Amino acid sequence: MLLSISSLSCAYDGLVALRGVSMHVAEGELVCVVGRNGAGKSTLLRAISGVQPVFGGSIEFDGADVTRLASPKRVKSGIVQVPEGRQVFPEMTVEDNLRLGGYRRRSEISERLEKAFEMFPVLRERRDSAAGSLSGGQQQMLVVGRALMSRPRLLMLDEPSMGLAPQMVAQIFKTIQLLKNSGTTILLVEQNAAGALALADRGYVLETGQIALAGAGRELLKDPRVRRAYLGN
Amino acid sequence: MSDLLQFLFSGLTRGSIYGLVGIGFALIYRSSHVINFAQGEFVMIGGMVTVFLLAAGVPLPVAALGAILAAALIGVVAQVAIISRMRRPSTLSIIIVTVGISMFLRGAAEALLGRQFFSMKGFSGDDALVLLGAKVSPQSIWIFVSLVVTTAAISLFFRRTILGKGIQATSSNRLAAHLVGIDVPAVLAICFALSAALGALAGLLTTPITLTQYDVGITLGMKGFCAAILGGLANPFGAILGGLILGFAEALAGGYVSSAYQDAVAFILIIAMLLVRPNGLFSAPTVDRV
Repeated sequence: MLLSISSLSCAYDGLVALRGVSMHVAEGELVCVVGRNGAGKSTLLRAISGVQPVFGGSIEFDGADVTRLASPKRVKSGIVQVPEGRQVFPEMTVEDNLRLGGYRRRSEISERLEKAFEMFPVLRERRDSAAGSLSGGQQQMLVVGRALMSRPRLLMLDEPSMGLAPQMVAQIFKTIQLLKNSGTTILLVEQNAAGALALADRGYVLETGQIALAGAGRELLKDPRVRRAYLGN
Repeated sequence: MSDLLQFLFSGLTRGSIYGLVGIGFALIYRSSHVINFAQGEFVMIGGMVTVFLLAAGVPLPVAALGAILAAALIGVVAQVAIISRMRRPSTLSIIIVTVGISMFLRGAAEALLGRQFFSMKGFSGDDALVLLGAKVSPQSIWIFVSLVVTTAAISLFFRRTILGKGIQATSSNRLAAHLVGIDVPAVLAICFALSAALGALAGLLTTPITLTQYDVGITLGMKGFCAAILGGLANPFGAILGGLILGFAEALAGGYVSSAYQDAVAFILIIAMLLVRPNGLFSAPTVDRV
């Protein structure tokens, strides 16, 4: 198992955000976590990245306990997150943003940079522009490209489709599909449950900090409770 | 004419020192949005440690290096042991803590070394050179060259090294910096070390001209702060230009108006800047796109 989480609990802003969450992700899988705003999805990813303190439970990555490991070391071991809200370095150039993605894998930066430009040609065109001047969709590509710079073993995407035009959403989901096909292990958090579950091998439904349902992506799509709560029918 | 030239040389010397102190403010503000009011104390430490190492028979280059390293070490300790441990730090509480650190360092220097002035010889002697009819101390040339070299080194550091980019990234978006694997606490400590080192460099360069005493950090700290405000606080190169502007303004005011008002120039400039261009002379207005 690449990632296994058992009974993870943590608090955000003084409120308990996760209560005893257990889940796992196997090598090569695309697992998605759906749930409403405030269900604890982002907190879960932040805890896995190590930028959110946890008060109970454990996180194992590739057989090693990383629950107390500092965030840079987690990046080095291959846990990379694309945070919610397109967190670029706005004043820095597109190229510098990408290079920083390789901060923990410096020897491969030029080679990976070329790969990122191949994957997102528009970033090559804009390589000398300030990242803050890109459109929302381009910024999303930039943060995905930045995450790929470090050759992640587990890529975590937090709401990659949020706030994007439908055309852009389709392109982002297509990119996720491509990454999965190339063997990248992905943990995807989405409010867009229909799109995410259709793509995922397995899914978890998070409700008020607890796992309410778990199962194969397509089965969850058919589950009446999921349909009622997240798909509007 | 030769008066004017004399004032300009004097302004260049002062301005270079203010610029070096100002870069320290800018580096720390840039990385952690903290105004470090202990910056002036590192200027004092740089001068003092050099003086005492020289007195102990250590050759000048080693003494200077020792002073810079000592200041950097104290800077790291202040950041790691005190500032980074503050819970829920607000800008105001951090400012108060840095003021506290500065009072502690000044008090320690007073207790250990007393209130007398200490001096040292100029690096290349104290005989003034005559340049275009104006007298220039060789130490002034050392100071100006040091500023130029430091500016070039910092520029290369930010433009060419991944650590330099990491510092910019930390300042730009701290969450994203964590998530690409930048060791943010280490970056902040490095910035404090670098700022303290630059302050110490300014202090040891200026000691042959201005002497040093336990409380020289108050004035030089304020002047460096003014330089950084002129340059826009977050911009190290702005701080250098800000320092030069302040240096020239002071020298001209001292020369043509009255040397009694010289120190007021810095405060007038700070107030004017905050009223007219709070982002500094050289900062573009910040652009945020969400």
